[in-house]
Amino acid sequence: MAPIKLYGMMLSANVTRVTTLLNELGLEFDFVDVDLRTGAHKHPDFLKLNPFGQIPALQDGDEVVFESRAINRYIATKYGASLLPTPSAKLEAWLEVESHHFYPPARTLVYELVIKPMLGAPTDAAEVDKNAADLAKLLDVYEAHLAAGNKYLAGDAFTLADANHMSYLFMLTKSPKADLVASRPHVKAWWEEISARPAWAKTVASIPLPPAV
Amino acid sequence: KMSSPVKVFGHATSTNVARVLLCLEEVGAEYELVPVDFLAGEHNTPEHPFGKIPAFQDGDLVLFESRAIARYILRKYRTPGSPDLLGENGGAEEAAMVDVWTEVEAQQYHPAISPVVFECIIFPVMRGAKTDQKVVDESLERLRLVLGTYEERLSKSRYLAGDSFSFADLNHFPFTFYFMATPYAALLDEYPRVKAWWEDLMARPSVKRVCANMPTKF
Repeated sequence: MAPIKLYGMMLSANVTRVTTLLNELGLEFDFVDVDLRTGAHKHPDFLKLNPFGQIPALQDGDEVVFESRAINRYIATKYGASLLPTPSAKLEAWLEVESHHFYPPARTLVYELVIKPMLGAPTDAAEVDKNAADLAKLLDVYEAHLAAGNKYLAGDAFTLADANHMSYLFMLTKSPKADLVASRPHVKAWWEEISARPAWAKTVASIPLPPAV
Repeated sequence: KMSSPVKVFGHATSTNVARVLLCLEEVGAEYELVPVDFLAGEHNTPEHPFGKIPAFQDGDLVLFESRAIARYILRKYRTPGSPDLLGENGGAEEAAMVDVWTEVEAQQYHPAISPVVFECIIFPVMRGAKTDQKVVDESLERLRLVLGTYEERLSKSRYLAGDSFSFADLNHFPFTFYFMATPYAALLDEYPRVKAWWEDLMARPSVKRVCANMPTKF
C-alpha cells in the first residue's frame, strides 16, 4: 500500500495541524517539501493537488485532499474514529470555534511575532495589540469552559477539537505572547496535558524553529 | 412526531442564522425561530457564550456555531427522502470532498466576498457607516481569483464536491445572497458556470423559503 503523502513545509502551522494528527494516530507518511519561499506552491504540478495553491495537501492512494481541517476530518474518519466520537455536537462546536474564532487572531500573532522576525520583516505592533486583545477575550471563554468540568474541549476525552489547536498553540507559546496561555490556569493546564501526549514530541521535533525562538 | 420543534435563536436576516434555517428546510425539520435583541444585550445569555447568533436548542442540547449546528441537524434529522448533504453515507472519500469545499467556503471564499457585503450593506445599515471603497476593491480582486478557481472546478463537476448538491454548496448561500444585492452582482456574469451553479442553488425550494425572509433592498 502506498504511504500517505503530505505536501508542505513544517514551518507552517497549517501543515503541522495535519502532522499532529498523523503522528497522534501513528500513521506513516512521506513528507514532500513545498517551499513557499521558492514559489513551489504556485507550480502547475502542485496546483493539480490544491487549485488554491496553498499548503498542506495530502494524497492517500487516489484520494487528494486539501484544507488542513478537511484533511484532518478525512484522516480521523478513515484511521482514527476515536478522535471523532459520537454524539458529536459539542465536538463540532469546538472544531468551529478553532476555525473561526481562535485561528484568525492566533495566525496573525504567529505571523507577526514568529514568522516575520525569521524573514527579517518588521512586526506591526498595532496588529499584534488588536489580535492579542481578541485572543485574550476568546481564551477567557476557553478558561470558563475548561473550568466548568471539561478536561478537554469536548468533555472527558481528547478529540480532534483539541488536536486542531495544537500547532498554533505551540507557536504562540514560542512567541512573546505566551502569557496569553500561561496566565489562564485551566487553559495552561489543558495545554500542558495535551502537549504531554507522547506523539506530540515527534511533531515538535519536526518543526524547524530557530534555537533563539 | 412526538418531539417538539427545535429552537433557533436569532434573526432570519442573519447570514449565519440563514445557514441553519437552510439545513432545517432541506431536511424538512420543524423549527421555531426565537428573535434575539442584540441592542438589548440579550445575546449574552447562557446560550451564547461568544455573544453571537445563532444559538440552537434541541431538547436539553444547547449548541452554538452555525456550521456545527448545521451538521447536527443534517445528521439527526435526515430522512430517507432527504439528500445526503454531508456525503457521510458515501464513506470517507465522499465526505472528504464535501469537507474540502466546505473549508474552501470558510477559508477562501468567505474572506473574499464578506468584506464587500459588510462595506456595502451591513456597516451602512447597522452603523450608518460609509463604504470603504479600498476594502471593496481589494476584496473584489481577491474574489475574482477565487471565482476563477471555482469556474475551473465547476467545469469538472456539477456541484462543488461532486455531482450531487451538498453542504459545501449550501454554505455559500448566505453571503452570496447579500453580495447579489450589492452594486457588484454583475461580477458573477464573468464566470458563467459559477452563475449557473448559483441560479441552480437559488431555485431550490428550501432556498426560496429562506430567501423569503431576507431583504434584497436596503
